[in-house]
Amino acid sequence: MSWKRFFQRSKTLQESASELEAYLQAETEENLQRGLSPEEARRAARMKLGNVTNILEEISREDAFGLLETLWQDVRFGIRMLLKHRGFAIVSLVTLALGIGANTAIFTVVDATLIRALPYGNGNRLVMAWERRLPDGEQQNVTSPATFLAWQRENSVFEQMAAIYNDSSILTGGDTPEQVATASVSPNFFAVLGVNAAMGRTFVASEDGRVDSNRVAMLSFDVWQRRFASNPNVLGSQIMMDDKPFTVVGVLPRGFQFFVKQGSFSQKRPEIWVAMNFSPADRNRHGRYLQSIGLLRPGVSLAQAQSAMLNLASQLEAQDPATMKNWSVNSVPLRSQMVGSVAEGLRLLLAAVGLVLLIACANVATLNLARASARKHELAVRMALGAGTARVVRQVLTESIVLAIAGGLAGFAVGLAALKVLKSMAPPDLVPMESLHLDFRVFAFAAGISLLTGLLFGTLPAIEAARTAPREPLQEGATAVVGRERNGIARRALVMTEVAIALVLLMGSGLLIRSFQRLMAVDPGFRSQGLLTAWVQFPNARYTNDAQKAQFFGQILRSLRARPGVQSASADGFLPFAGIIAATGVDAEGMPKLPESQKPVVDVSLVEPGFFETMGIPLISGRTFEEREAFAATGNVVISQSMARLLWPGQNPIGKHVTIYMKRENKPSTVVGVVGDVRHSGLAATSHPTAYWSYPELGFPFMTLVIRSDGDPRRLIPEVRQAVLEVDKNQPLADVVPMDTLLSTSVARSRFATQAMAIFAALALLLAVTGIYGVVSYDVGQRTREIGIRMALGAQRASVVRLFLKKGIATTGAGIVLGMVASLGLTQLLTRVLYDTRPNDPMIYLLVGATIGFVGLCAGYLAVQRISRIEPMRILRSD
Amino acid sequence: MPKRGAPPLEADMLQGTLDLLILQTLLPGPAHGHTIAYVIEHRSDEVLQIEHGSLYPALHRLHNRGWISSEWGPSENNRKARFYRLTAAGRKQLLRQTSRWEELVRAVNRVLKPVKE
Repeated sequence: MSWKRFFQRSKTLQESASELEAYLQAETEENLQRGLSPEEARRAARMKLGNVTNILEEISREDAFGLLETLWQDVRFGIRMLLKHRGFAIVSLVTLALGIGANTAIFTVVDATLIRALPYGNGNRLVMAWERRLPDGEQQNVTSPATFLAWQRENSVFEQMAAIYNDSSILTGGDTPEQVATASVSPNFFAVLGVNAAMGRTFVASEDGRVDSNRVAMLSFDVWQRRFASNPNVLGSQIMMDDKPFTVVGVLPRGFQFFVKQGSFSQKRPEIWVAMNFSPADRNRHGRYLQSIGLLRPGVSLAQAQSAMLNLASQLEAQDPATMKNWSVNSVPLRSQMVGSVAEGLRLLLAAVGLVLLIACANVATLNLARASARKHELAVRMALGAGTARVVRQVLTESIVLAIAGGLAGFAVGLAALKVLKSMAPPDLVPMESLHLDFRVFAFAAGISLLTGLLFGTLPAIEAARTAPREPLQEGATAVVGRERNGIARRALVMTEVAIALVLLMGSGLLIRSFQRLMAVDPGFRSQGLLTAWVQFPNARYTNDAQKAQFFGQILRSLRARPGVQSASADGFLPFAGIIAATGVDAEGMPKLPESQKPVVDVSLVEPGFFETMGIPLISGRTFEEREAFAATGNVVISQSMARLLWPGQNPIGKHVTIYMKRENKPSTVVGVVGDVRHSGLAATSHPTAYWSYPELGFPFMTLVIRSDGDPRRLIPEVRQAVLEVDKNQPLADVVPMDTLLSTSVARSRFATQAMAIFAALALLLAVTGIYGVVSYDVGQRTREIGIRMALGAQRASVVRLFLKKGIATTGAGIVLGMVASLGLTQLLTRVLYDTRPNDPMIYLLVGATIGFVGLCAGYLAVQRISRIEPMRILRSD
Repeated sequence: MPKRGAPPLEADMLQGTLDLLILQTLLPGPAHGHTIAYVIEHRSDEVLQIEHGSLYPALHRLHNRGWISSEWGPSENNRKARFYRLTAAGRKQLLRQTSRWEELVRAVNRVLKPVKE
């Protein structure tokens, strides 16, 4: 219908009305001639014509045909057909929903992590500059003030460079003291990022960076809301951190955060930012603790920056070989830094979920192909009754669209739900989960693909059917027994592909699960069950002499040990699985004294008496620390097995001397004991040589309490708080966490990847099985007549069942072989994420192959159950 | 009037069939609705009864598809009537539908009269 006709509707109606009137008059006249009275003649004519209004309505309906009304008609018809073929509709719908939903959710995460621009004005030009420790291959080591200042002064590739140091401070002045994560940054830090204050100002190098500057702080939006009740008067006011006053100069924008985990001392997202200023003494320090970030000059590439920094590093080494030999430099774009190893896992998940979408599409295609050939007959009848080709194709198209839209909506719902699950499942440091929103572009993409598949595979057969109709299918009644249908091959190929893809995914999932099992079976070097840990940090200024510090922790431990439920209690400076550890060069007795940068490197921690016993770290030889060593520096050291091997291979280390360069003045320490190795930074990490001093040797302002309980460690949390508050009522306790939780958090990423992969593999298997079921059951349905005749002619039911089952098995088998071949190559991609597992583990191949084979067989078997319901006599009579 | 003993068939039972019959009726020359109905009824020995309620919508449909054109003119007894005329497209459509119809009839016949036993 053209628009013109649409607007001329009333005119057309008038014409039709007068046409009908003309007819009435003609008929009346005829009746008059037959001898009827005028009234009767008119009445008879009216009766013959029928209800004029109805006819006019009918006519205008004819007019509307073509656009909206046919569409509505088609939609209703489509829905009726879908309801009639519920199995087809539900399977299609579920397939579409799962495929679209899973893709939308995963891609949203990937987009937020890998694709979307960093939320800083200078996002793409930001580069982290690390030192690289050559002897043990540490790629991202923090740097020292001296080196940072040299970089800042002498580099030619960065517009500006800023240093960052994450710390933790006690914020007082409110009702309760609070431990907050802080970051000390060079005053140009926010200018480097390209971030402005939401209120007030950011730091200014000319004012805040000088030695005599006031202490100034910026608040994160969250802290401003939570701790300062969103009070704008906080600007210019003073806050107390670690018993020192800071002037608040600004509040950062909502959602702003900057946290690089690597080398971070506090390992926490900073909430309060303070301006860093180096004292003259600081400026020459070589202790490494700073992260450093640079803003590339416009037009400078990463490679150029890296080579310029390498040059600079060799210059610095030439100036000061003692401290700089064996150290190089490593520039890492901020995005890679933040995404880190997550990128690989996410890409894997993206690939996996893409494969799921592929299977979903294949499934939709198979279903549509099956359905199209099943309705050939229906279409032929309708066309024989006068429906036009375009009309029939449009009807089928409408049906596909109705299904696709329903699938899309369901997919959207699944996507929302999946995103929620992802948010709860994913480790918090994986992606900024709170800022994740369902990505509509992605949804449109996934939905579009599925729609297209549905339309393509729904419509092409319809067009094909429409072209051949009505002769061929109407004759089918006579030929069905020997009839071949061409689409069979296409469907089988699709199902075979589905099986192959599902196998690849199962293989990947199997490997990840195996690897995760291996990882969880790794011995961390201590017993984590029943251990509670609590981070305690007091303000540096609070306890001025070493005896006070030692007393502080000594009293807490004494109080804890006396409490019911506590088996033992101790403390560690750098707890395993809780973050970083200090490292330094050492000189060992009996070895030549090397320059500083060439000395063997060991990790160093401080412990309280009873530490190894509480942790369950085995004592190999000698003794551990005694109670008296908690209060006086005795120069004794306990070392790990690997440190003993490193320094004195094949000798008895007890009583030997080692100089650990960590103090202002370093005297040799005496080895009193050797303990087992601990994997400090994760189950997959190697254990480093480690030296343990007793607490007074360095007297850190922070320690992590470790308490072994005789039951659930969580029960002791209030006891620990109480014990600390008894010693100092102004001492907040930040992180009280069972050791098991730390352990489980450390493998959160692997667990997440494993779980997600397993879910996708299960989805893929489910979809593929549906495919197998569909194709076999469709075969049976199509050939019911043939089966009936065979059975009437004496074929055994069982042999007929076998015949059909064989076809299903052949398809599945071909899919398995194809999948195995593909897996040989594809699983290699997993090599880097697998722990202690070969990508071509034959056990996994066997297991996965058998699983798919078995499940496929079951699906086929369920499908051929229809055969047992076939009654030969009824089929023969129906012809 | 329908013959006794042979119940009248409603031609609109098959929508496409009515279209075919109208086109066929218009082949010799233009006619108005009343004539078309009359011709179909008489040619079919009154087996096919044209329901006027579907005749006019059918005419309208064919008109919309461009298979017939219409003009107003005086009828036999000098009344104003709408005359329908077969267009070139309508002629083609008639040929196509006729051959398809014949195919269908043959097919149905084959089904109805199987090979002699």
